[in-house]
Amino acid sequence: MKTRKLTTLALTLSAAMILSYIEGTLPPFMPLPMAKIGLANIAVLFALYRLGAWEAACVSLARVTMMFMMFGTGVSFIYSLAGAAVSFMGMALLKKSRLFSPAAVSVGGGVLHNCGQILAARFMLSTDAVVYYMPALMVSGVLSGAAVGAACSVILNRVGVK
Amino acid sequence: MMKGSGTRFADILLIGGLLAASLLWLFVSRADGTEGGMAVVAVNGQETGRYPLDTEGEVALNGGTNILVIEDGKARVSDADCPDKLCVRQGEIYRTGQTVTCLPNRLTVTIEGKKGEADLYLP
Amino acid sequence: MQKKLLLSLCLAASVLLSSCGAEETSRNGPLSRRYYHYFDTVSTVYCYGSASDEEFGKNVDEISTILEKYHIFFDIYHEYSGVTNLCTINKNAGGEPLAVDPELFDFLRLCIGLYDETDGKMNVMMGSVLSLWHDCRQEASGHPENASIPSDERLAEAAKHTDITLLELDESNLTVRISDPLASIDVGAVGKGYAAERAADYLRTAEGGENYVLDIGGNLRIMGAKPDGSPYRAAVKDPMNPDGAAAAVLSLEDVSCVTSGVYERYFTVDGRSYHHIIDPDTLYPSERFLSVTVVARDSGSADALSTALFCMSLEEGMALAGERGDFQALWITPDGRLHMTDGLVMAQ
Repeated sequence: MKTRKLTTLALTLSAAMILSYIEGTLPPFMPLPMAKIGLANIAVLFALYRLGAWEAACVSLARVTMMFMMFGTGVSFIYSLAGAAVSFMGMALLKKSRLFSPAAVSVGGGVLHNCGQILAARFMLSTDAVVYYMPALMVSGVLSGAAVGAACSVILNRVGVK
Repeated sequence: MMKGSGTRFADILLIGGLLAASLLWLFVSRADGTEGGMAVVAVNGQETGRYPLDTEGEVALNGGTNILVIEDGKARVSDADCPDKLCVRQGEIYRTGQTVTCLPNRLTVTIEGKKGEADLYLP
Repeated sequence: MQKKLLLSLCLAASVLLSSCGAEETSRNGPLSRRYYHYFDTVSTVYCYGSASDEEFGKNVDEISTILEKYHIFFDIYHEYSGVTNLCTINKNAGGEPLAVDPELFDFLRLCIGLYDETDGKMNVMMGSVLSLWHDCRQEASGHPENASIPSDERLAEAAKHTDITLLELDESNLTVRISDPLASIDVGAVGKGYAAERAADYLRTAEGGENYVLDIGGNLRIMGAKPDGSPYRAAVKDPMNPDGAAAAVLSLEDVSCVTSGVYERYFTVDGRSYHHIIDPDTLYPSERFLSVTVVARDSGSADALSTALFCMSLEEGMALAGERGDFQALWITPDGRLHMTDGLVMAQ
């Protein structure tokens, strides 16, 4: 059983990285900094439901770190990490509450991801000016979170939760 | 529906609530700006220049990484050396609080009100 | 089920977002239109009221027509076909009387009145002197290394051709003639304000003409109060630091206001700067003040008075203000101090 879990974890991480890479090749869907669909979150959300919180945290952290090592620049790593961390903690808590479907958890994660990035940008650029983007990015987070959630729900419905 | 995956009511409450809150914030934040008077440029949070919107011209910012154009009382970044060019795509800004950010170059252009509290300015 | 829910949410969100985009371009603050070609300066028409875009568009078009008309009348460098303007009149100096448009005639009659009212400080027949300074300013801006000021001999010679009586107006035939071929008219100190007042005349009777503010090359013509009933706050520049904080903020309602300042148009020769307000007595830029601001009902008067006060002592100016009682003024002296008439209201 352990091997099976490890394999699934590795596959999920690979999927996360491929999704991350694909997203990187897409043009930004809105003229807003940090507004992304967050395709890799499909994998993280999948891990959260299929494998568990710690495993999902591993996928998220490993994805951000390895993407940075392969393609990244210093600044983008900090934004990605801040967004991923805040988003993951939020999703783990939302899931633990057992009140929400994966789609709603994903929406929460999407919004929080953008909040985390704004906070990071606020510190990096030491200016409150970036908070200007917060409401627009939250809307973007809801929309992309819903899209990611819908995609992940389809997968979970086929594969089943653990 | 999967077991243990929550109720539809809670979902609607969360998604709807977040959407409503963010849209409300978006409306409020976009509605309260007045016509600005100054484009303030900051790199790494350090103000590097202020450019009145009632002048026309083109300025190279941050040693040339971004080009700021002021035209018809509006400011925009017309060119940049960053890969995503999001600062260029963010278009024109002219009301107080509006911001164009270039994250890769850590640069922000923010619209501030005209100096002082006056409505009108004598020559 | 869930997918349908998400889909409808996305749809609702995109509808809301697109309406949000429309909100972005909607108005906040006054409607405004700016012109760059009248009187060689920038003019802006603001509407603080609730006029619709169509009403505003119609009114600014009309105002633009009025400004264009006076721009052509007052242009001393170009002639226009079918119009007798000041350039035509100057070129014809010493020749036969020229028939002019009644509106230009009215204006010239007023100019002669202004000469008497200001004890000769506001003299539109200073063209010969002003053109010497103008040419030096132009030369200095094109070739700063050649910058120079007019010689005293040339200024003194030009000053012999500046008598206001050289401008002959024939009321019965509406004709104008300058009797001295070396004299010329220059209305730079009064023309913009006069044109602003004519635009204000139009707005008074126009539909949706309330709550306008005209800024004609710095001549503010403020129509009424702000829509909320409070007065407008107009900032007077600090001449020592024109880009910094205002030297004073005036509270203005249904008046005209203009500032003449040494920092507006000037050129530099050997480290000394020469601005554009020429004292008819010394024939040199007036050194008395850094700026003079005048608040008066009539924009033409305000414009002319700001130039006239610039060329009088503070005491003479204060006395004139007390005597006439129809204008308020703010002087900023070279030591940076502010002097003002008692009736001037500062914004809180």
